Amino acid sequence: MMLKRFLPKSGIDYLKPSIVVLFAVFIAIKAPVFFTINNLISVLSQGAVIGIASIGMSMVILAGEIDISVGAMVYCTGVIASELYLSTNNLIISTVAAVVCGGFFGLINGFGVAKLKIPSLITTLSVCNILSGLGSILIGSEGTLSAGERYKIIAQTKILGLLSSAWIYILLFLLFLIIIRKTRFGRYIYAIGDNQDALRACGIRADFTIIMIFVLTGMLCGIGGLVNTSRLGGTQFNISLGMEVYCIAAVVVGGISMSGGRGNVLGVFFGVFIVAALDNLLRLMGVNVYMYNVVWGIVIFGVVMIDILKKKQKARDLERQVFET
Amino acid sequence: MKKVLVLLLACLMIFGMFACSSTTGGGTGSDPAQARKDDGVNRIGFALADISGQAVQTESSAFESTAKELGFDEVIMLSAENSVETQITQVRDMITSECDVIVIYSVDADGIVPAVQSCNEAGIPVIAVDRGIKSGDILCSIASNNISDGRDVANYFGTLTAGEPEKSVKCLHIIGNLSSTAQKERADGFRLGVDSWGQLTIVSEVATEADADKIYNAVVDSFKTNPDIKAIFVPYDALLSPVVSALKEIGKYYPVGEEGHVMLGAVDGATEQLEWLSQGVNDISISLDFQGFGAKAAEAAWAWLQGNSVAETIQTISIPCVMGNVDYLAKNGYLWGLSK
Amino acid sequence: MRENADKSRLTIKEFALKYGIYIGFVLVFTVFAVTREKFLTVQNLINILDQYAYFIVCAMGMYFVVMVGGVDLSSGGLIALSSVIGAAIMTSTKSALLGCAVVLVMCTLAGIINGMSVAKLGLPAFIATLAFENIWRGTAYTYTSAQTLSGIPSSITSLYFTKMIGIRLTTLIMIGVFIILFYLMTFTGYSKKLYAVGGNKEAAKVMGIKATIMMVSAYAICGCCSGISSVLLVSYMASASASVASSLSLDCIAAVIIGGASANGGEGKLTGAVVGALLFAMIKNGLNLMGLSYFYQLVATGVIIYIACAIDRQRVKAGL
Repeated sequence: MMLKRFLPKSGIDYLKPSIVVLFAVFIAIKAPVFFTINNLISVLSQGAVIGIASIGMSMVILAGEIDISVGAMVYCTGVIASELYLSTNNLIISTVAAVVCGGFFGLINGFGVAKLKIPSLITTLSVCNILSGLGSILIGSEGTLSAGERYKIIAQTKILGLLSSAWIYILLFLLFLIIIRKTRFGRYIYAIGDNQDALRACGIRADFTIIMIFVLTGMLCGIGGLVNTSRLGGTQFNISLGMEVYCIAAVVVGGISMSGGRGNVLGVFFGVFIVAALDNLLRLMGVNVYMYNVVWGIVIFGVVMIDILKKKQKARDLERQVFET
Repeated sequence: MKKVLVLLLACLMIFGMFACSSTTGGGTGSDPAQARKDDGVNRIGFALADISGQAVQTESSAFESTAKELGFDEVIMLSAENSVETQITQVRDMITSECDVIVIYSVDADGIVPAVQSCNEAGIPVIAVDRGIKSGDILCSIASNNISDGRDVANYFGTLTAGEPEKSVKCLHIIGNLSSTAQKERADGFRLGVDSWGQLTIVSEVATEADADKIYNAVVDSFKTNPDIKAIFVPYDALLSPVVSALKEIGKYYPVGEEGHVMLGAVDGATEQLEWLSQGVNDISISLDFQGFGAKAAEAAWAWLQGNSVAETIQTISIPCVMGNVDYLAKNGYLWGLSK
Repeated sequence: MRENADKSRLTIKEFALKYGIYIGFVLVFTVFAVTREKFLTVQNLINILDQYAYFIVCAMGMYFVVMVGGVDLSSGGLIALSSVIGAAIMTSTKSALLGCAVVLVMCTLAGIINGMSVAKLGLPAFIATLAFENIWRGTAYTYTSAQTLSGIPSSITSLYFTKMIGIRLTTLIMIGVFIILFYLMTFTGYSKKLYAVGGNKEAAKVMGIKATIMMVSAYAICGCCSGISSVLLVSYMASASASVASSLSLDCIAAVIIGGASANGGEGKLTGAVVGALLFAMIKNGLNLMGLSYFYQLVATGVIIYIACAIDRQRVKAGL
């Protein structure tokens, strides 16, 4: 609020770009490696799993709900995928199993939210507990599963200079863009986040749409789990638990409103990039290990706040225009 | 609203009565040892810092089987997943369960002290295993020295690179779980070891929360700023797999002996990493006696229960395993992770 | 606040739904009591209160935030930071009182900052408090370098180790906090305004309620409760470290919602939140006594939360 007084009338509009430029200069001096093509490509593949899960998360948040079982779903489906690969040696079976199981976990979430009317935070919290326990039970006492070199094909193949994990993410994201922009399902997602009751009054099955959103999120997490374990060549106890925090951050930084119904999904791509790049930068710059969380918190807070200041400014401008005419 | 108040008061009253009766109850059973004998069940509790890993799984199953063999009727094992307050609560719940002996593999050597005090008050002996406990009455500690384990790895790196120019051997230090004492001690040990060799230097320390995913990214990124990293230290063996995967991705993976090999060292002695040693993937793994931790804790508890004397500290031996000795050690059954 | 005075007779189904949480409570209680004889001892029931006093206090604070339609994910990080700073002050100045005062003031301020970010700046509660969770916890780690601070003065640790009429002082503090908050919610006009703001902020504004102040006050109460919780935790652990209370915030939110509060705010009772928290504590205690392995405990907790909430939502749907 205070800041605004020192800026020209629409100064807020310049705030974000100028901070980005300042930041970029700072990075260029402190960690020049960051801007090499090589590094930017690897940021993309590092963010691939978070990105795939964030696609689901952005649908969930657009619909005005939240899903904190994402990390546990990625973990559990990853365990299932690599466990099955070890016993059958068949990539197709483990892929299908990961996606189907993910979809089933999503169904439990969706059913709880849409039919039983449990708040999504709690539904997904309990599913998060169940799946993180289940995943560890499935791994068994060995603690690690090494799936071998062939399993790495899924995520580690290089195509046109990019790793296949990044390609999977990009393709899924394009598909998601088309679904959101061009199909009725996409419009329903926005409509649900905006006003669920109105949707019901129009005779649209809101419950079904919500269940579908969660099922799709689960399936995406299944793919995420597969890609993640393939990248690491196997799985271990407690991998990617807690990932949902990064996904939520990516979605919100990407400009989607937490109350649902508003936001440009293309922004999520940049949100994921920012989250992955921040992680990457912290390591490249050799920041004190204990400071990671602090930097992270400040960046998330800052980005979202600028966004909100900007929206307020826009609303005020609009008001003024309406008033003047 | 009146109803609610009445209800509340009633609850409080009942509560107060219960409370009073319990204090008098506590008064009669003032000799805790006496009270426990009445139970007739030999019950032992094992409070674990975490259960996520092959090493602890080995430790806990060795503990369970030994305890059952010796004649304990019931074995309660609880894991706190690296949360100090959970572990304190779990130990206190074990007191409620009337365990005769409580074995603690603590999350934090300082943090667990009040729970040990509660055990002391209840007259239940405490056995510290794997990690020490800072104060309180401990019947017996079965300890390894995490500091020296970390230092051993650094020393091995030092001997391998002896004669290189000063500060030329760059080490990447991967930090696991910030809340664990073992992590802290191993890290300190490694730093100490590095300091004692002129040519070794730590160029980067990265926090990873012991998450394989983060370790993978950490290795990839660290090589961008320091392409000439020569050695990587990881606090737990299991965390080496993502390191190797990452090295393969960036094309820095060469087996031991080849030009450009990055030295890899870790602590624990897990099966996969021991097998790797003979394949030349990693250089050194410090094998801790996890089976011994579990078995010896159960034996000490049983000895106490039978009225025999128990040694105050039982030292276990950590064995540095390298390519040259791993086969011999495995053949003779010195390693928990590997036997041939 | 809906008193169904005219509806004195309830069918069995209605009764079951209306008191769903209590029935769930009794059910879980019976299961544990039957399977573990140690569970149903007076000593153990008091133990549950003793051990989870800090959790229950924190859940009571969380109740207020949930009532205004928010969440506070920063409680855990705040407890970590305030406890290490409080412990450092206590050990260096040897003054327990000063340490506690600093903890309480700090936490209340942090609560106000949360409230301002949400109510004044308009940040989503989830994101604002998530950011602060990271900031507080990271600061705590940086400050302590991940070391545990021990040597807490005995006047603080004796809060846990001293018993009055058979109950530990920490538990009495918890009961005291409950009585104060219960008074606030029942005998002052505060609750009406709180429900109004939580139910519909704009409508509340029209009614002349200062919605922003109400929201900030709710977050401040939550912060203050985190502070008290922090002191209780320090006395329980006789030490302080940056890694404590890592899943506390989410558990508290779950407890409040299991206790019948609506996640959108404006609905639910303080006693419900306390019963929810007790249920949570009881589950953890019972599973510990059963000696269930950690992974199975996770699964069991998840299933119980899911079912408990499902039952409670049927009550809301039935309009009871």
